[in-house]
Amino acid sequence: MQRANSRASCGRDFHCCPDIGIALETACKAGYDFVCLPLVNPRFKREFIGGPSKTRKCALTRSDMCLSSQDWGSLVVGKVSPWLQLDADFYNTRKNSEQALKEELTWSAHLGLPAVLMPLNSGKCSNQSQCLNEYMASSYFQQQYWIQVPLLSPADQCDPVIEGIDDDMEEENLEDTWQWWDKFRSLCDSNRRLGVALELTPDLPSEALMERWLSEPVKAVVVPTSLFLTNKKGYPVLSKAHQALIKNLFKLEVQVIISGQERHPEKTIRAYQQYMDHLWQSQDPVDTVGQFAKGYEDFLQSPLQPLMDNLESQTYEIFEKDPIKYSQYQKAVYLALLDRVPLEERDKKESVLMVVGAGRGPLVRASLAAADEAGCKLKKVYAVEKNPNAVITLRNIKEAEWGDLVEIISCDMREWEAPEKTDILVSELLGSFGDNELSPECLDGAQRYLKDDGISIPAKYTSYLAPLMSCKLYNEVRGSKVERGKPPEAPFEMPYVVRLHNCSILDDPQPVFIFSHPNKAASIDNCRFKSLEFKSSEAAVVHGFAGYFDTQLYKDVMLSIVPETHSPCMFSWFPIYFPIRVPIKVEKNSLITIDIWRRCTSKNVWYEWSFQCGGQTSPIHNPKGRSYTIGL
Amino acid sequence: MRTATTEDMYQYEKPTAMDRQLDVLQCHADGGLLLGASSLTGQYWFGSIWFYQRPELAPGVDGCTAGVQLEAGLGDARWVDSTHVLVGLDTGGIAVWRLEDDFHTFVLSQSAPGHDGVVTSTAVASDRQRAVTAAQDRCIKIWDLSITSLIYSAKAHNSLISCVDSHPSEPDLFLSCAQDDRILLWDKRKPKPASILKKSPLEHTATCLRWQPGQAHKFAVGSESGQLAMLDIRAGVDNFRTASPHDRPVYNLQFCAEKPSLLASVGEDCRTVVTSVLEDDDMKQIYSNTSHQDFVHGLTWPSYSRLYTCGWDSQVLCHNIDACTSVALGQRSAASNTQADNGAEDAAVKSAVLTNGDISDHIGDGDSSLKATYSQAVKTAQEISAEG
Repeated sequence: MQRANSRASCGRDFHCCPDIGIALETACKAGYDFVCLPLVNPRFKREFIGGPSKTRKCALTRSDMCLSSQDWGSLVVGKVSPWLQLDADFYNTRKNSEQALKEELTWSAHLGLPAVLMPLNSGKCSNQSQCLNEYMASSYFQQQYWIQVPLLSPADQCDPVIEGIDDDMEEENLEDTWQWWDKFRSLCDSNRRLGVALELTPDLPSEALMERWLSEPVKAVVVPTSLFLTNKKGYPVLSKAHQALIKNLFKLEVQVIISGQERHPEKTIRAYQQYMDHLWQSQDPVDTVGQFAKGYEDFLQSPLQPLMDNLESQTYEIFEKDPIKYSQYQKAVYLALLDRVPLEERDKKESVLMVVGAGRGPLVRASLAAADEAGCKLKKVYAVEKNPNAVITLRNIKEAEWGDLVEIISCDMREWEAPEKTDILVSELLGSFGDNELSPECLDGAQRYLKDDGISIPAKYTSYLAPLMSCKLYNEVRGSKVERGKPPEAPFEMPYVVRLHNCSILDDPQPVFIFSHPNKAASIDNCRFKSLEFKSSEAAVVHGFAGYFDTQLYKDVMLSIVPETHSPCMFSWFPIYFPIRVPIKVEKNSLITIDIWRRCTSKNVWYEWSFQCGGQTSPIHNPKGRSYTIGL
Repeated sequence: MRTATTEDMYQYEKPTAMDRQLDVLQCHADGGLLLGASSLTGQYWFGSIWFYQRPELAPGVDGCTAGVQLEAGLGDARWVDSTHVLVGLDTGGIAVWRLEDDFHTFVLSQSAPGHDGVVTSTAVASDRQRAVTAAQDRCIKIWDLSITSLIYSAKAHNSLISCVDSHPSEPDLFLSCAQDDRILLWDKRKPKPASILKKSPLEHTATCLRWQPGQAHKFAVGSESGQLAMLDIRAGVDNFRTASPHDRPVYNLQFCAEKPSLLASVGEDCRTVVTSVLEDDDMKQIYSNTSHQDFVHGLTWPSYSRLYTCGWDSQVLCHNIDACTSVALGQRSAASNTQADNGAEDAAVKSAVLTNGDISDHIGDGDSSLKATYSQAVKTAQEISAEG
């Protein structure tokens, strides 16, 4: 399977760069793709407060003419000075650092550097955030800022050499550096130009803590050479834990930055790059769903509304390629037929089948194959389809293949008057959230022509929800345009179909709405309300929730997109994402309550939802379907 | 670490120009002067070390007895003994250079990759067997000087370390301070060698520190706000002696070996101050000078009445503490040649005497003649980095 990048993108970090030409040359010769260089000599402190040095005449740093602007723009990541203390308590130190930072950022924009690395060394970072935020607000050049966050705080990385300070590495006592980043990012209003350069440390926090980084905009992973072990042949290698983490981060297409001195001189600095590339190449191959979803990661799509809109040829074609869905349907029809027609009646009893929402015929084909396989006779198969364009396809197939056995009905299933009742009603009207393409309403209308003991395939479907953290998705929603005539909150008040990627699910999904067919209730009510309680095992930010569904087609024949039980290789449905207007921060082990309603009128159906967590209650999103409804 | 071979000799030629930023100044036991300089801006960020048998000729290129260009700038350097110099480089590297050929040639004796960040401070233990280095990588490292091998390394600070200094008589004791606002006392004999010292009455973060010669427990410390304080490492002793002679961070401190009650301090306010720190008495400022035009980083006492300082204005100044005057050394090579033999004190008389005057008085005074000696693009000895 071809990945977007066939090799790892690897950069070399220099904390000091006496000769920029040599630095670039050695890095490029050793196979590195870019270099990280100090913007200004790391010892070259400037004075902005007072004294004669304030009017120093010499140049701030080396000239931009050292490199071509193309090289600056593609090969160099700038690093701000290590001595800056933007959150110092002492006013002069802070003020001086602010001015110096501004000078360096301005210079980096002048050079057109693609990104600037800036260390985040403490949770005390309000002023640093303000400085960068203000700078971003005033600069037009779309430079990225990679905030370098260590996995463990500098204090937790210290050797146990200080008297009276516990060298207690218990998880409870470790400072959570993700919280630093979360604060920094939140203060900068999750600006899209901010990314994380995650710095690996010798010891790693627990997996649950690291998991959260996968929902962050991690652009680079900084790997100090001191982390490398030496294998039998003398080559640098990483521990299993570090390997696993890097491979996880590779899924986000992160770039690698090798920092620190050369510790395997006989193998040269190239050995680190080669090892990283080896890790890249030895990633698990991408599965079918991953291949299908390539390029759709975290890409928001409005859910289909096949009832209101007619699907296009291209859409049918994509979904008909699913390798699992139709074979499961065939299996379900097969089992249903076997149950309805006792063995002794197989050669005489004829069954009626109706496929409602036949599309271009894949379910008709699956049903015919199932009957054939079961050795059951069919009296008639009715293929009901409301899309006149799909009907053209169906009629063509009928003429070429099916003949009189199949009757094509160009009509909405809710309005059709069937000439007879059916034994089995086959449909696939499901959305990513189960009922969100109005399968319940359609089938309620269609079950009129199901025999009293008839079978509906699917028999039942259930939607699921789980709280989700994803700065990326939140930003995508925030960045989308508000349609005319909709309230400004509208983008946050509609669900999106999306291939979830740069996100982290904070707790296991729980069932939400269940629909069974046929629905024998005297008065059918498809309105629903559910309140669910989740728990986040680590501090996190709730950016919304992820929705899934599973369906029981017949007996134990299932289809599922719930992560735990996902039907292997099935790509017909991506999860659904319900956003939240204002992200809510939750502490470790805190409860997250979700209330969700399914509301119906004779014209349309919509969802309303709200959260209670972190001591906050969000307003009910999408009241009266003001931003989003599904038309009947 | 590697030992230099004689083949390396050819490259130890004197550089043709002085680097702009002067950071290190160390008197030789026999009267010479060690100067460390770096180019912190411009195209190449190299450094150089220089030895002047006649200090009054510093920082001239022609007047040096020996000089060598280094692969990078240097934040600190120390005499190990009369012929060996320990250098901490901006690359993180540690090197020992030996003066050979009757002090006329610097030869690389040992080098080691050292730190993962710019070396900020170096110190040689009182037994001259070991050295301590500190860097922006938050690490303290101890080196066996005889073979320049690493014998100890610890990450003990949470932020970049500004300064280390070893005890004047106890080889196992040293101090460190960092941007994390901690002052640590190290005793290598203990299983947990470091302990946090109380910094009161120092109000802000310590930027540099120095043990007082002849004293077992006392040291001076300077801060980011320009404050100085005398502290005692013993827990039971109350510290009260403090002064604030600087407006901006104190960069370096040096006690006068001959007269340990004299503490010289230099800082980023470009000021040079000498404070009297007599026991059981308040700290008294006895000398202050604002002749430097940029950060003052290096300082050394050739005698109890004189102090040399150097800074980023490319100047080496000789301060006459008693007369409260200062003079820039080495700059008027043609004019002062005739009287150079008479030493710096004579030069001070003949050239324009710079007293504790206002800064505006002498802007441009030393500037023009100095410019010719700025290093522009010296590109000779960087091969060291390729091999080292």
